Amino acid sequence: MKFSSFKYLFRQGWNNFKGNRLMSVASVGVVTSCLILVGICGSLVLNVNSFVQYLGAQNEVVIYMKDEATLENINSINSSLEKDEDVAEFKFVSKEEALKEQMEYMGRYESLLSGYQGENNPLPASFRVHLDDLTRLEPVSMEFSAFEGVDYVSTPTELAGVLITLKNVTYYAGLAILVILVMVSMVVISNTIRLTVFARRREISIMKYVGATNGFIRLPFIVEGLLIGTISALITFAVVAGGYVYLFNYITTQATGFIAMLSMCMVPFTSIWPVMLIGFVGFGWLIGGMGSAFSMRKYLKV
Amino acid sequence: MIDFKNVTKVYDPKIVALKDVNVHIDKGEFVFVLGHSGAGKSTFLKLMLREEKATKGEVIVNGYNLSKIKERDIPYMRRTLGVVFQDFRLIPNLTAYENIAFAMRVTNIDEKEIKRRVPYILNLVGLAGKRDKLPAQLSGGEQQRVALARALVHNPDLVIADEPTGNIDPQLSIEIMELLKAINSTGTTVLVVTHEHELARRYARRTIEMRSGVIVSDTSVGKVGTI
Repeated sequence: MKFSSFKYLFRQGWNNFKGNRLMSVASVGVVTSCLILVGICGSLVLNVNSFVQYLGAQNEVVIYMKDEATLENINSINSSLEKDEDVAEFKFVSKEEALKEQMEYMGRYESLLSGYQGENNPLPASFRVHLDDLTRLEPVSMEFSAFEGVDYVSTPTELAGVLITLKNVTYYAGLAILVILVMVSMVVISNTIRLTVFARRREISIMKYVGATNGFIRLPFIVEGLLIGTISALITFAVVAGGYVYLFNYITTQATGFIAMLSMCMVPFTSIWPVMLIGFVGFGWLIGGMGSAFSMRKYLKV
Repeated sequence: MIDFKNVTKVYDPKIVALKDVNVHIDKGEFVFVLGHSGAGKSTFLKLMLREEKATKGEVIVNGYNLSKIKERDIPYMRRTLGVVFQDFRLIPNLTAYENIAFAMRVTNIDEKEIKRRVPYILNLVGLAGKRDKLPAQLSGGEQQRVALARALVHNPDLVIADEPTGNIDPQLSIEIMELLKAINSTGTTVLVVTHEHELARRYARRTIEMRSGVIVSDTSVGKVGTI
């Protein structure tokens, strides 16, 4: 398509948008509201994920070794942990190190443990293992329970269960809300565009008779839809960004107690704004473009 | 140029609009398609524009086989013909000039070419002085000439006029017929669809008469069949 045609079609789209001012403003309003909800959902999901990840990192699986475990047993577990893709990092703690740790923990009462040195050391050797993915806690602990020389594996499965549920609930609820909102927005935009299309159906049929391609006829309406989507996306970005920064500042500086703890894992705005902006504009375009494409189909059949 | 081979068109439910129609029209001919309402003229026209598809048989227009044409090629086929509709089909909020330019724009023609071509065409149909008038400010005859200008703007091989004398007074019908004759004399095929026997008789050209979806006569010169 030639550049002059493009210019012409964009002007047509802009004129539709202006000519239909009231409906355009209404559509921008509805789509913006929907996108803001999408933005809130998205930010929530993002932060819950980061929170879960943070808590997950605090969890460790501990593989306790029997006292009679041989060096061979320990080496075989060591090499299996090294190869395991679920394992983020791990550390071997020998009986001596465990006792030393315990004594350090006791501080000035360490002498209480002085009788447990060497042969009498009751503490087991262990592997302390961190995983990337909390959902892998159980399978991993099962796997290593079966190794020779392992006494038992301690796993914080209960906490993990709660965290996984939390993550899943926010994820699926967020997704469901997202889908509904996107559909609502599409219906609203496609209705707006349908009005323009209806007002210009005569023109469209004339265009078809003089040999305009469907793409050519569709473009101004797509431009109109994209325009509604873009404007909505930009307003949404301003609103959500403002709200996010405000909340972030509030939580990191003012909040106390549990909420203050959240601040450690809240995702800073600087690291999400590009994704946010691209996301909103992308959504806006998707909604606008699809909305107008749907509303056109009927009128192109001449 | 135009070839109808054993064409039958049946609308749902079972309304037969055309029955086994065979027509061949050569390049450069001037042909009347004559018939009362309901005779099948409109269907004949719709099949040529590929607004409808033949139920049976083949329709070939300007080298495009309309029974087999792909959806995306239809616009390009339509650019090879110009149609003057009975109700003119001008866009009410565009001036005469813009209405014609519009037809060029939608087919991706350069603005420069449009500025050169539209005034020439307006001049050809005798509307040079009315270029900035809206359709509502023009008389019926003038609107029709804008429609004709729009049909001619792509330099089509075939011009189809649907009831060109229907919506205007007799004096103006003569003018539009003279214009069509002039266009035909440059080698463009002209097809006039009408219900007026008198018109076909007066101009003494090849006349295809239809009745109830069947061609009842096809004379090469002037004599209208009387079945």
